[in-house]
Amino acid sequence: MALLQISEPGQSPDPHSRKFVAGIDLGTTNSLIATVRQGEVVVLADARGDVLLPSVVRFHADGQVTVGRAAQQAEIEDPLNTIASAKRLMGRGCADVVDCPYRLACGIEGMVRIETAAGVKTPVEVSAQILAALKARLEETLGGPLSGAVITVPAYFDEAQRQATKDAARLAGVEVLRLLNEPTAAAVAYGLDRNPEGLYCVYDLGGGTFDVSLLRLSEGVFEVLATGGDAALGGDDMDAAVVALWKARGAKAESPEEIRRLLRAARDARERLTLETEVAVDVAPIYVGLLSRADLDAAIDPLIDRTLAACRRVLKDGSVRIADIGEVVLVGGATRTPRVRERVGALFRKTPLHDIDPDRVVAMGAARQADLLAGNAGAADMLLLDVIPLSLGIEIMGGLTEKIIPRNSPIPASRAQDFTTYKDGQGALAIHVVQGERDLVAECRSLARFELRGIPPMVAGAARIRVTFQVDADGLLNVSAQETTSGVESRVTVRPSFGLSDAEIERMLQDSIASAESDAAARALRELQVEADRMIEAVGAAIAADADLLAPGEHDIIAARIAALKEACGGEDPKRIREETAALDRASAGFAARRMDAGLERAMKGRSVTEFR
Amino acid sequence: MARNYFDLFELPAQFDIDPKELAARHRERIRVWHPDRFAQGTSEERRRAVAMSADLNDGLKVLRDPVSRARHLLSLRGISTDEETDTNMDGAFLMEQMVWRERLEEGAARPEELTALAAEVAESRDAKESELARVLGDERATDLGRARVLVRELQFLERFTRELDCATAEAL
Repeated sequence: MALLQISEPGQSPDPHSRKFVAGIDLGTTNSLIATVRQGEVVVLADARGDVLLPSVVRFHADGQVTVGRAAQQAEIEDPLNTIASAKRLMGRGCADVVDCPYRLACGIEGMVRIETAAGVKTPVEVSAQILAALKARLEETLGGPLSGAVITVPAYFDEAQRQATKDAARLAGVEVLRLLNEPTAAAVAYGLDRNPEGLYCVYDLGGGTFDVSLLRLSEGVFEVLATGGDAALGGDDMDAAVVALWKARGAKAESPEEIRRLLRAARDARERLTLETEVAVDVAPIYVGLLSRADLDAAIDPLIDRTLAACRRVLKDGSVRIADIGEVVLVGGATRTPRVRERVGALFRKTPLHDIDPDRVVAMGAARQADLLAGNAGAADMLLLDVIPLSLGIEIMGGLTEKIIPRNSPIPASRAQDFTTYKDGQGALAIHVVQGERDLVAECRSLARFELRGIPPMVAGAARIRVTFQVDADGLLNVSAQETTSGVESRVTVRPSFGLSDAEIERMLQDSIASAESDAAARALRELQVEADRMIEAVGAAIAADADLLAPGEHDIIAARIAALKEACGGEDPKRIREETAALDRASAGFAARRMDAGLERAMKGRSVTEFR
Repeated sequence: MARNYFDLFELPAQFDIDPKELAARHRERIRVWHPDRFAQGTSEERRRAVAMSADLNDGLKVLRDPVSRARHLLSLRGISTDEETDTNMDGAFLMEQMVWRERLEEGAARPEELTALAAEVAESRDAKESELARVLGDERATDLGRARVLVRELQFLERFTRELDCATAEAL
């Protein structure tokens, strides 16, 4: 039975003043949700007391969906309709996927699709089911709606994978406050706990992804110096390596059920070898034998080698020597493997920290960040400065990549570069946005293509086309292109080639669980109303705080727009709400700008007192 | 017209700057402008926070590195250091480049040869950067033509150093 909670005298939480926000670790193997209550991070458990929700979703022929442990239990009896490790498929095309245990619906452009008894599903829909289950858990536990969440992603996730994660949240009806890199989240949990200063290296080996990040902590600022990793390397690959070993020793597995059983046994044996030195494996009639820790070590060493190579590269990128690193932090279930700890310790010449549960630490850090972003009183005063993991660029003549924002650039980032036409009278320019480190476009990930049209006729090389990349704090990209001599402009929010189109998302919203109670139009209306409310609240708070910065008459103009927007919100016309929201935004733009400038001035003054003493 | 990053950090537009002061000014500004500070703000505030933070990050990057700082100074005075529109370089410099390139190719199998070459290139870069600091040092700098030549040569050397680093990493 749950214990009744009693708050400290004078700290009685007012249920109306506090928003329920959460940190969500959407993992390959397990997912978690955590929140901050009375200053403490709480990882929420289900009715059985489990905090880990297995990231497994089963689609039944009758349209029913089960998520978590119940789905995991059906993995062997119903392997094709029970989807595990969908995170590995997020933002991926068919050509990217090898060795997938499901029936993939290929021949369709864009993201991988899985054929199930309930129809064709995308990894985004699978992830949305997991997010919806976590959202429901929080709402049942706290007795109120979830108003926003920080969702973690591997630092090494590319644009398509990040966008896919955001799309999944949208389908699940979860408002994303921020996408946060997993190692950064882990550093927050450790950093706030210990409050140390100096260089941290976070080694995060999860079920399906590997990240390594180098951070500098000082005065509440978490600054990522460099990040690296492999978006397709983790505990799942260790299981596959063990299965490969068993096959070499005579195991015969052909059907999906048999392969699943072997993989399950491999994970089980691997976990038991954390404490034991040899375990008996019985997957009769497929395979029976012994697995020693030495066997396991030999099988996974090549995988660990890859992680250590990434560590060395990150050190080089961050211009940091091993001796300068203060602490090495282990994150992710796969770092429980003794061989991983041993080899990471050997590389960094120190014993890595793992005293915060490596399964929970990411969700805990994300919950802290959510608390801060929600503006909750008493939230930790900290600032996270993160970087982009992979270079962003565009294709130039000869199939080559021109990097515009190099990897490990701090975000938000913005960079413009000028290009020119290659033929006389060229009236349009195709812009192909790519991500990756290689010089050849073919070896990078294609993100998006768009065209700048209407360039006036000029001789080759005379046009000046300025391409501007802007990466926001979620690591998501916006690209615009302008011909500067004529002013012709084109602007796109990058929807990755391996992503979903807006139309697809609309369709999914219609079929999705989150909209079961209402149709897509009502859902869209509600999204607009929420945004409008947020806007009204923000402008109201701004006026209350800085009324002295209002220009004469400005108050009345803004108040009129607020009233108009409130009225629009009471109605059902989405177009009007959108227009009135934009009108309020315009009407308050000058005021917002003055407030921001004043905020900066105040901050500078605060500094001069301490700095020029 | 390009943004003046010296203004952004309220620093005098000159080559000699204190890197610690630059970092401190970036830090205090990003603390104020970071989008996380405006998560509950209006759309306009959030847009501005992203744009300002991006400018601050780009500005830090441009001013921190001596060569890009010099390029920025020159561009503020209307002098382009673009290589594509002007391929005219000093003959002796190009000659030296060719010799170095040959040594890079021959040295592919000999790490110690590459290390020696790297030391030589680094020395040449240091000398050019010192000269750049002399001709572009403060706001009264006048020999902008010479500064432009140095910046262009340093860009060559930067690229060559990157290739050299790659080759060294492969040889080891």
